[in-house]
Amino acid sequence: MVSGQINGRDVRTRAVGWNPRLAVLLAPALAVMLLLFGGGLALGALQALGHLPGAGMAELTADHFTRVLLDPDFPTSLGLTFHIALTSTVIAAILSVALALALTRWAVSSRLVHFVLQVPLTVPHLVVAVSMLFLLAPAGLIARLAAGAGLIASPGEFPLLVNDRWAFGILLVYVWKEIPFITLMVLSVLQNAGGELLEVGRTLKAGAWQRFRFILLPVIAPSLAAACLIVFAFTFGAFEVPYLLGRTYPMSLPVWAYRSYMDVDLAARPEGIAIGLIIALVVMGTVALSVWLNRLARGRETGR
Amino acid sequence: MGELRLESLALGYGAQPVVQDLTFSVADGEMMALLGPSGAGKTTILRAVAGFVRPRAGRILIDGRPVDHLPPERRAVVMVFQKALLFPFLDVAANIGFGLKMQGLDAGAIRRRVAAVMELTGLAGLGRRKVHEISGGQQQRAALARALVLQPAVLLLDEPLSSLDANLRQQMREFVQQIQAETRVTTLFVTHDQSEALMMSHRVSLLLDGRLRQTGTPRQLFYRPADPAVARFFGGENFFHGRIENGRLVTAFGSFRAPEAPGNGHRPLATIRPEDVRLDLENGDGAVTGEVTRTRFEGLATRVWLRCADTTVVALTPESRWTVGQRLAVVFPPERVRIFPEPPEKRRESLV
Amino acid sequence: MSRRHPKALAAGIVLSVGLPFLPLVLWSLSERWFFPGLWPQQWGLRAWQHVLDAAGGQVASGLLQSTLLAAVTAAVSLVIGVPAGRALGLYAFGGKTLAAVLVTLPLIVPPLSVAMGLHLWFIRLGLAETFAGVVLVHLTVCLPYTVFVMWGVFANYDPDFEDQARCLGASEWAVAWGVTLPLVWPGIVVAGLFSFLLSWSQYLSTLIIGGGRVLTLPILLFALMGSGDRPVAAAVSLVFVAPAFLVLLVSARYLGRRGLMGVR
Ligand SMILES: Nc1ncnc2c1ncn2[C@@H]1O[C@H](COP(=O)(O)OP(=O)(O)OP(=O)(O)O)[C@@H](O)[C@H]1O
Ligand SMILES: [Mg+2]
Repeated sequence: MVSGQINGRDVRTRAVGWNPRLAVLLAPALAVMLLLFGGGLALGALQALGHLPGAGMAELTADHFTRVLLDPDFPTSLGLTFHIALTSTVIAAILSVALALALTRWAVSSRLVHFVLQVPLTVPHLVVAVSMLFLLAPAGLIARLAAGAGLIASPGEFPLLVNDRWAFGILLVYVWKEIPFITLMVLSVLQNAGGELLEVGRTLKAGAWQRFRFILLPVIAPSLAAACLIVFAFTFGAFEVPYLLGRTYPMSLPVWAYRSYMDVDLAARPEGIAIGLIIALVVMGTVALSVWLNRLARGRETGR
Repeated sequence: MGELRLESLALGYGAQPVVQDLTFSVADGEMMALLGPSGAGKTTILRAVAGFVRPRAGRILIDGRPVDHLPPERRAVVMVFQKALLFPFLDVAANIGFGLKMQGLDAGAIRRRVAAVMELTGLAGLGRRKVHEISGGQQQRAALARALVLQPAVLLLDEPLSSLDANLRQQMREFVQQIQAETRVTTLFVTHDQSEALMMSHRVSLLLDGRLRQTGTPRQLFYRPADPAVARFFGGENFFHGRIENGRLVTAFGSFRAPEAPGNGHRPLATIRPEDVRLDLENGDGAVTGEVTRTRFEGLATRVWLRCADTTVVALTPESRWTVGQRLAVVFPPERVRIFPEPPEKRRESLV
Repeated sequence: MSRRHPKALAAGIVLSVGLPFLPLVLWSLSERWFFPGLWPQQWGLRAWQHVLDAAGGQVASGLLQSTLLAAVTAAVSLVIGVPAGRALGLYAFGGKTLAAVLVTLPLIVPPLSVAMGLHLWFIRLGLAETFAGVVLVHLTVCLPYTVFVMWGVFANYDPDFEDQARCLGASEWAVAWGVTLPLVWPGIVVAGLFSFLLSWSQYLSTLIIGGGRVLTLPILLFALMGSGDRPVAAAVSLVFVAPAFLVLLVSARYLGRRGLMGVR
């Protein structure tokens, strides 16, 4: 971020052994992460395994996990959560790449557009969800427009766009929120390398599709993939939007975790924590899997 | 005042040694070039003198006083890096005045001294510019001015010209030399470019493989290299073993007079610079003959490879008329043949 | 290429980004607005009065609470995260990968998993339902982003600037304050904004650890959505967006093109 201000580019990392200065620099962050993040997950795991000495439960048991995993609703909830996360990530990624390409191609460099593109980054998901509710609900603004155009006579005739089967409203919120995030990540790579490489591609007689497939895509792939993973992980584990715009049944996993955890029956609490941990595991597993697959694919491309 | 002296200095990073047993001094007002190939440890030595690298052994003295215990900011030493490293958040004048400000001088004094040094370095009128609004050469001059304004006892220059293009570099060499002559600041100047070292400095120290090989005037290093490695660094290509017999060096391809030859029985290594080898069509008295195997036109001169008995001799001549296959007389002017003193253990072997 | 494309594209972007704000503004200004009216049948400032009035002192204190929380979290994140980013960006050392994974793993693990686990422990430590407890749980979300941003900043940073300043006579403190800080300042602003925005929009982790005692704006907004008072919910939504938007406006000039790239 300050690279532009540094004369000369070859900035090297210095190899050092473990020295006290380095420890001083890293220790606070590592301590916070180990204690709060690692500790949170570990204590969560203990509680989910039934270790609640205060509540008279001290023995370790996998009951809470199995109860969740064997619940007939679990596969549906898992499927729904995957649907929300994957679909919104894929749609946002495709639109973002298209948008980034269009912006570079037409050299849209107006400050206003770049500023406007950053606005959604500052808007909390919760606010977007509220607004979508006002827009898409059966008596929402769009339904009113439809009524004004004579398409429907009563709110009941308006197609269900929130609390609906396909989670349309949820997807819309996420797509609106995440497109700028992915677009800006892709755009920064394109602006650094894209133009010249495309010219090289032209001199090598690559067609439009070939230039996209064999030049642009490989160039943006790393940051696109990173952005998508972050978006996927976030949408998989976020609670507010599916809570406000989702159906009461089936619930997405984060909503289920919340309901169990907040249940008046304190015995349901370990179950809520177990679901929270399952979410964390699924996300970490997905990210690890995609990193591994990516490495495999790259190995193949370089012939190893 | 400023005399820099390094005594038996050893430097390294982690487990990796970089320089061993380094001893030399730079006299007050002298410009000394520290010459060596990339990775030789030149920057490391400057960083040690500036106080960023702690020596593993040895001492660093300025004007006879050890400075090893002083942090960088309290040494009367300023280093100018390869990159100009002008602070982008300050304008040119503020960059040059940075050190004076750190000393707590009042604004008026800083302004006067900065103006004077900007005049000296040809930067007058550029003080209000942003750093990126001046050219690369001006940036280097500003970096130099920022160091000079502090009137350091010792100025350390780490290849300050290597990022400039060839023409500008030539100008800047003369500029730096002139500034040094005017200010008479003791200067240790790092470069990996031999011609830069030879043309700019009063004395040169050559660093090879972590050791100081030779310190001396440019002429000494060029014409009287202390060992074959030094000769090779300065472009020596002809090395041959011989035997001393009555003041003559006897080699596989002929014998010639060698004024500086040691006594009989020695088997020294000898060298002659390619440009000192003379070629002739006529086979004069006692000259060696050789057959041209290859020629290469190099602009100012032509390089000629000759086979003399089993040895290849390289000559660099102003004439370009030689052709492959010609048999020529190869003349080694005696005063230009350098005979290396044998290391003691070798000499004992050859005497046996 | 036609000159209309970029104009159409720009218009499309502005419209799509602006659309969600339309119902919020309209609802916040409506007194009565029944289906199928396209405009409120009766305009009014009741919602805004409620938000600004003593009656809505809750909103004001929520705003204050949220601002304080986000500012303190961002500050702590920077104090802890900038040195870690420096270590990761400038040096290669044994165990770096492990440290990097530990510091960045929370980027993908949802905060609700962590908050639920911490809750019981925080109750024991007396941190539950306190401002400090909520700062700590927000830290698990914000710190990784700060470290990540500063890692990138320091990977492009030339430490020779510091050595240059040292041998020009600057002490270690003078270097940190007068050289390092100005050089990485744009990165620090971005990292601080990241943390601020992340903490600002946390809901569930605040609810779990704060237990309804730490009343931030999102907690209020959620409650309002339950109560069904749409005009007030819309007005609070706008209040919720405003500060971050202001920050963006102020910083846009300063951050240039890259802007908030990477903020989520
Ligand atoms: N910070 C460091 N940590 C570890 N090793 C280093 C460090 N800096 C330099 N080295 C190593 O020390 C040796 C000497 O490096 P140095 O930079 O002093 O060489 P140099 O003579 O200045 O080379 P150049 O002409 O390329 O600048 C090299 O092998 C280098 O890899
Ligand atoms: Mg160097």
